[in-house]
Formats: sequence, structure tokens, C-alpha cells
Amino acid sequence: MTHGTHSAGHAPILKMGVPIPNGKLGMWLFLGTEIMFFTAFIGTYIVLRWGSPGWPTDPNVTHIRVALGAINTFVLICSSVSVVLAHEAMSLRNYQKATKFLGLTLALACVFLGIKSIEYAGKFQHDILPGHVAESQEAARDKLVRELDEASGGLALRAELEKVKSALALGQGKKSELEGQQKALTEKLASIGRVEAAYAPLKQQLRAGNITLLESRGKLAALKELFSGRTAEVETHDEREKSVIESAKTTELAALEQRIPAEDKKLFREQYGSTFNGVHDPHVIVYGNTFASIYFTMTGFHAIHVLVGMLMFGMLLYRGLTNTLGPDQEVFVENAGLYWHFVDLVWIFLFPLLYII
Amino acid sequence: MTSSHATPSTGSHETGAHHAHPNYMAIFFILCLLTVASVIADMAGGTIGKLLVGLIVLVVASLKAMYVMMYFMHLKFEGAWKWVLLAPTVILALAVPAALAPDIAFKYYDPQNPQQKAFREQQALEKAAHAAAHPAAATDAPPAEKH
Repeated sequence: MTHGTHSAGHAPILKMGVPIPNGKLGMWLFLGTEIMFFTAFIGTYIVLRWGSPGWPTDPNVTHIRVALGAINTFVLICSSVSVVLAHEAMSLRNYQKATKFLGLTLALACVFLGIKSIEYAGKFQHDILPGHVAESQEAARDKLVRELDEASGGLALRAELEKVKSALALGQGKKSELEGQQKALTEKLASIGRVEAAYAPLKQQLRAGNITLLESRGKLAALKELFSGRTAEVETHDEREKSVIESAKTTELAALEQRIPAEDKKLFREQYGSTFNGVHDPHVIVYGNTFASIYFTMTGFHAIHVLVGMLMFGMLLYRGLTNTLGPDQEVFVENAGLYWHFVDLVWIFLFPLLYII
Repeated sequence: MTSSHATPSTGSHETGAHHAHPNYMAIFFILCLLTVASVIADMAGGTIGKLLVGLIVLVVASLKAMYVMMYFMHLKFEGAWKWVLLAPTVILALAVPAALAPDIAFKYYDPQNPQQKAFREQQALEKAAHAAAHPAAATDAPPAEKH
């Protein structure tokens, strides 16, 4: 509390609180809660990582790209400079210049999210998602069986057929319609049965557990090649692994060529060419699910903060472009800048913690 | 574009509305150089060891954070209120890992944990793969897989 100047015959003017605008104080209080919000995530990550020997760090396994993280760090640093220059221009009442820097900050935020979306797409492509990662050999084999069955669609079709059959038996719905559905489903199932027969031996081996993951990757590649008619590339950086996979693939292709009738091969290429394209190579990533949860939680919440920042800069840019930016917005620009620097700060720690260590 | 005098005037502390402007471009270059230093430390990871890389990149990140807070967020030029407002958050931030560490970092996973079992299997397979790649140094071992 500070005492103001005395005027003759008047009570002293009292001034309460800290010597900064209320809006700025509010922003700093909010940033205080934000510090605790993000440090809770970071602290949780540190203790989980500490207690998990074998945490995945190989970039070929996690598909974390240091170069992309570094570029995004650079992009955020540039945006921090542009927002601080926008604030400076506001203080100097140069609103045209402020508008330019606000536009630049918004553009850089878009670049950041663009790069982030490329990284996310990679995670989805390799199925490094919470709850999707196999953490043992057995789980990896089970996952491959499940994905093969889901891709062929046989299980879903049989369930559908069962529903129609029970509806017919119970007299639910129009009989002629249900019979028509039953006929169509039975015909489709006969065709899918041939697809299922193509991978049945692989499925049997996976269930029995008498096939290594590298061999199953080779056999899966052979299956994809048989169906699509195009060479299925083997994704590995290890030469020894590659030779095992390639060898299994060649052997399986020869076996498939011999076992599958020419008529079925034609059917597969014409109607089911892309059936197995979405089936993932079986991998074991110990603690992969916790890793994916941590990665998406931290980078996801950070990305949401970027979006909120973009909204603020969008509002200010709109004012700038419509010539309605004035002294009243100076504190708003300063607050948006403080918020944006905090977003930059969080990324400064996320980059080494998630991409390097 | 920017003025380079970094010494704040005393009056500016009181109002908080005007503070001395540091040379933002100089800070920008320092931040870029520190980012490059992190990437170089990552590239040198194979030779200097993971622990040292971790230490280097976290020190670099803390330095970068200091520069952003002090100059971009102008905390260097703000009044003493900054300590009152920010110090408690730091204490509470440290409380989370301190509270979780005994139960999670130190003894969360017992040896029967499936991931620990998988990790041991993976290590055994990697050992076998190493032996297969260097047959002179080891007995016969089947080809193994990393993942």
C-alpha cells in the first residue's frame, strides 16, 4: 500500500496493489498457474522415465526427429522476437509496424503447427499411440493377428451375418430383405474366406509363437506384395535385420506363389490390392505406451496453447488490418506477448526432454 | 529497430509501464546459438555419453529460459513483485517430482512387471545378436531381433 500526494484539505489518496496494470498482473498470475501445470507434466515424465529402465530413446524406434524439433525451436524463437518487436512498435505508436510483426508471429505459429502435424502424422503412421504399442514379443504377435483379421474384415462380416441370421430366426424385420442381406453377406464372406486363407498359415504360426518378429515382418511384406502387385519395401536401418526379413519374404513369396491358385491371385490384385497396406510391421517398444502418452500429453497441451496464442494474434491482426489498433491495445499486446514467450519457454524444455535425452 | 541500452532507469521500476529495451537481436542470436549447441551435443552423444548429453542440454535449456524470461518477458526490469508471484510456483513445481519419486521413480516396477520381463528378453536377444555378429568372440547363437 502506498500513500499518494496530499492535496490541501483532502484525505490522502491510497493506492493498493503492485505497480503494474491489472491486466498484466492477471496475466502473470495466470502464467504462475501455467508454470505449475506444465511442470507437473514434466515432473511426472521425469519420475516415470527414471523408474523405467529400457525407456525407448532410439529415434528409429520412437520416430522422434531431432532436426524437426530443432527447426520448431528456431521458429518459436523467431516468433518470440517478432512479438517483442510488435510490442515495441505499439509503445512507439507505430501501429503499421506492429501489425506487420503481429502477422509475422501468427505466420510463424502456423509453421510451428505445420511441422508438429508432420511429426504427429509419423506417429500415427507407425502406430506409436497410447495403448497401441506392443511391449512384448507375445503382444506384438497378437497385435499382428488382430490387424490381419481387421484388415481382411472377415470377423466383422461374420458378426454381421450372425445378426441377420438371428433376426431371421426371431422374425424381426422384413423377411425378404433379411434374406437378401444374408445372401449378399454369404457371397462376400466366401470371397473374403479366400483372403483369410492366404494368411492363415502365418496367423497359425503367430498364435503358436513359433515365428520370430523379423520373420513375420518378411512374411507380411510378401503378403502385401502378393495382394498389391508392387514391391513391399522393408523398413529397417539394420543390415542384419534386413537380410533376415528379405530372406523370409523371398521364401514366403515362393510358398504363396505355389499355394495360391491363379484365380485367387487375380481376385486379390483386382479387388483386395490395398487390404493389408495398413497392417503395421510388428515391433516391440518396451514402455512404448507410456512414452506415447507422455509425448502426446505434453506436446498436445503445448499445441493447444499455440492455438490459443494464434487466436489472440488473429484478433490483434484483425484490428491492425482494419486500422483499429490503438493505445488501448498496448497492454493486450504486452499480455499476448508474455503468454507467447511462456509458450516458447515450455518448448525450450520440451525439446531437450523429449527429443534429445 | 531496437535500442541497445540494457540499464533500466529507477523510475521505470515503479510504474512497470516503461522499461529499458535490451538488444533483442543479440538475445535472438544467443538463443539460436544455444539451440545449435543442443543439437551438437545430441550428435556427439555416441562419444561423450548419454548422461553428459542430458546434463548439457538441460543446462542449455535453463540458460535459454533465463534469457527469454529476463529480456523478452522483461523480468530483469520488473519490480520485486516478480519474486512474490513466481517463487511459490517454483516450490510447488518441485513438489510434484519430489512427491512422486519414492513410489514411481524408485520402486514402481518390480521384477515381475511385464515390461521388465520384456526388457530382459530384449537385452538377451541383443546379446545373442551381438554374439551372432561376432562369432569369434562367442559361442553359436541363433539370429535374434531387436524389436
